[in-house]
Amino acid sequence: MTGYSWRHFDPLLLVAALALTAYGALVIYSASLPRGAEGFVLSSEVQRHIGFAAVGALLMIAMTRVDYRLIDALGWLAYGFGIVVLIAVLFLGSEEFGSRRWFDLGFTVVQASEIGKLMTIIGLAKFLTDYRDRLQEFRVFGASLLITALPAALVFLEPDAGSAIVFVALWLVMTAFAGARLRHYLILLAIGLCLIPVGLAANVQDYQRDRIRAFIDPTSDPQGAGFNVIQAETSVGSGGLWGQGLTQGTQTQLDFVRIQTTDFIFTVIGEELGFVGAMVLFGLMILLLFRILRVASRSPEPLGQLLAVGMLTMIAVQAFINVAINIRLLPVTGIPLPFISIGNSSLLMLFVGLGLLQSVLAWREDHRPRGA
Amino acid sequence: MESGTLSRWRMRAVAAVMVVLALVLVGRLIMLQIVEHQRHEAAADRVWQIETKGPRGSILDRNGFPLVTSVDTWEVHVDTRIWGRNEFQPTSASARLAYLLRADEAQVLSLAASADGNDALIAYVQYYAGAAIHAERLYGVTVRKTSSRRYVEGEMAAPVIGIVGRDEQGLAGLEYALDGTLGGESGQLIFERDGLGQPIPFGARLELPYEQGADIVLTIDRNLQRIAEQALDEAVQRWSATGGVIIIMDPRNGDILAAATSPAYNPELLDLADDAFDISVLRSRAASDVYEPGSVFKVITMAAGLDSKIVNPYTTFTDTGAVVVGERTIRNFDYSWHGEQTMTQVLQRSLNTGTVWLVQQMGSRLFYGYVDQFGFGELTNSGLPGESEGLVTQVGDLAWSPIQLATNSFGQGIAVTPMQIVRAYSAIANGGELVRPRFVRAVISEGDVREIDTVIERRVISEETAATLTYMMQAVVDGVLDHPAQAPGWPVAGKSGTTDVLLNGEYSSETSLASFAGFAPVDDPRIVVLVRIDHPRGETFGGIVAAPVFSQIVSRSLPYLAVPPTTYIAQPEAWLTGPGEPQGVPSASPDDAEAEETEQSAAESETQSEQRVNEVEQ
Repeated sequence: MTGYSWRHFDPLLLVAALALTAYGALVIYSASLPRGAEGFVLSSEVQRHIGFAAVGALLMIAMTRVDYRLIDALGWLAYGFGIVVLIAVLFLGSEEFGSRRWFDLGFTVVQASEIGKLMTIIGLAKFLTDYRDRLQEFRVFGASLLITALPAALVFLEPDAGSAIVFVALWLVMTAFAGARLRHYLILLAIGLCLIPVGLAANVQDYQRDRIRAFIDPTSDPQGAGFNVIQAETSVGSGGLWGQGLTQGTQTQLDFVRIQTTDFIFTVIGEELGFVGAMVLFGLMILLLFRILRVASRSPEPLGQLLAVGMLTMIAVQAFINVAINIRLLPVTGIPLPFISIGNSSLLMLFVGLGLLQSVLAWREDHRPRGA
Repeated sequence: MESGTLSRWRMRAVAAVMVVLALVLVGRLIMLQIVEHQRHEAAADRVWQIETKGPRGSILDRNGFPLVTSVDTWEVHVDTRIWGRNEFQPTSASARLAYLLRADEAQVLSLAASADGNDALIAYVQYYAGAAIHAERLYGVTVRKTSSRRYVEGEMAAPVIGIVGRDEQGLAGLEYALDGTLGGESGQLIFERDGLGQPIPFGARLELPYEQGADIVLTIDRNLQRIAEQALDEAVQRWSATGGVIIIMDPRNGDILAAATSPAYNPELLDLADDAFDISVLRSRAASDVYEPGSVFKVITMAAGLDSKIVNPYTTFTDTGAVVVGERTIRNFDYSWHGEQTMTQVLQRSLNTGTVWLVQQMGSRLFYGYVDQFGFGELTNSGLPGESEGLVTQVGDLAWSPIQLATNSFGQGIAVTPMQIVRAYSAIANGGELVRPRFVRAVISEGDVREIDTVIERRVISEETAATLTYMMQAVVDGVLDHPAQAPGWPVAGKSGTTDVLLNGEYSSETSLASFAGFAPVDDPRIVVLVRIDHPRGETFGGIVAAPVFSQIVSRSLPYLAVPPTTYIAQPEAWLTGPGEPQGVPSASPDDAEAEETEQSAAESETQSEQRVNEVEQ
């Protein structure tokens, strides 16, 4: 049997992603409702969210046609492209809130790190597939770290510590999956611990230190760094079981919580849709993650598996960190909630990544290891 | 990595880690949203949201004199969560508040303690008292600006204007019908508040401005309204009646110049909480209550006959005193018979036999066609709330029978509202065009005056028919010696009616609804007037009870409307027309009550009727 087969297309994967996006559009609708608006006002944010989701869904279906084994040939090219984008944004990106993270293309902005994340998954998957037999060697293990550390460092320079953490998580989970040795991790950990004081002195920015202090004791600076932490906690807590009702949350509607269409969008769910609304989010998210895990288990060869594990890690880690920050389990750092937060590039890359996984499903008959 | 595939335990490990992480989040959410929910909600609660309203618009009479306005007052509130901390025991704040309110401290405390929710409304106070309480910033006490209704002219036009509730929501009358226009759009004030419940001066604040309510200029003229109300009160008192209606309308544009109904009420003294209060007085009776119009309706029957060219004023028929329709015998109100009579005389003598003869010539289709055209069974859209359509049975209805057609011709078995009668008569006074009655002349919102246009609904009868009918209706009043509806100085046209009412399930001869409708001056009608006195004692006839009130209204209103009296004096001799005219001049008889569809024996009837006529002549 050759070629791809639509029989293996996973509609639930598409449906879960679209359901999450729709849920996101609903929450963005409430969060971006102009003050004092009467009736139904569909802000441009909501319209764009829905528009990009539609484009993303089409891309996902189109990606199914493309044989993911192209990565064998073009994997490094993709990785290289990601690195170029991440370097370019440092020089050409538009500055906002003191960091250079976005290209302004006029009609939309592109967040470089979103491209970088997907390209790194591809690069790392390619590398780990090619060298899977030699991963036990510390040199190869170290090389996998360097492949990840390069984009992570570039993102960190923007600065965007939150996204940098995602790269670290990607490396950790994907290498572990590929069969790296526990001893090697421990060695790296020891080295890392020794470097922490140096790193802190050299690299931790003032705002990051403030955020960590605000996390530990937000009341130390309630009008400054602690403000959003306190407001977010109050928002989520005041939602209760059923929430205040969509568009009825005073915290949300009066903009007490800042950046509530992106990094703090979960507070809107917490306040207006309550515990039940949060459970709906978790339910959809877990459905999606299990469908991705299913791709990994169905794929007969390591490249497909590693791509699935990479996507799974990216989505799960971002979702976890984002929600954890919103409910004061982690210090503040800017990470979007996948599918829910406003972020065109994030949304598109997510759908492209899922399209890659559909391709893994569709072409798997063709790539069954011979003689296996 | 063995044989190129990932081992199953790694999959399981990933799934397990995912579930654990999810559980961590769920656990924290349970903490925040369920266990600690109340604390966080209280924190979010410091954001306070109140509805703001602008002053309600005033209601002005047609010349701009205020009838109802709103004045600023204050509401005094106590936050029960704050006073509740002291178990509602006396504090310096409660003592001071009681002093400022000139109230008993224990009473203030019990009011606060008995309130539902966090917010207790303690009192309404006038502007200066409220400002004083506001200035003291007492612990847990807030004052909010509000306004209350002032009825500048007291009871005047109360049933038309209606009332508002405590929250200035219109509850009855035009206050209710025009609530949105008068009340404007409410705004919102959202602010952060401190522990005392007072807004934090530099806290987050969001104000959505309210839209002020518009002023409404009525078509009511307060002087004519006063004239109508006085006349109605006098008549109700004189006849020991239970109530009544007087409506004055300008037939040219539909302006209701006065609408008096009795019983009325004083909106300043109204206490809706009082169980003894009869809530039915709040109805807009002029538009919502139906009655059988009686002989007033003969004019409509005649209009149909004239306009369809079945008859002219000189067409005669032979009055034998009784007409048999089906199983019923219909007689004249006084059981009289007159031999050959003209159509003019049918109206003058209010001959039931005449209108029955007329509708039988016309047929039901033609007759009911005109009844519909005149707007019976149809809303007048005057703007009063709760308007009734009345009830006109049509051929083909279950309730309809040939008897129905016969009795309808003299206004029985048909239900109409006072507004419908005034509108129909206005069509005659207006040369045949039916005009929509209106209570609102203009709406004044900030810097913008919107005039309400006159609405001509349709032409009902030809101009010629209207002129002829007017002439015949003038004969009814000015063609009769000393008719009580005459208004010396002005030629007058009209028709009286007496509605038999059911008393203990039977039509009673003891009481009635006595009415008179007409217009003046005949050559250029300026007012159409309906007078109806309900359940007069001692007399039942519209021609006796209501006609003098009509005359009074005309003689008082027209000079006010700058239509000075002329030397005109009614000369009944000039109206003697047609064959079969009895010798002499028709006497001013209470000619207008219609006969009951009696099942009594003829003998009994005749004695009774003689008695009644005798009483009248005395």
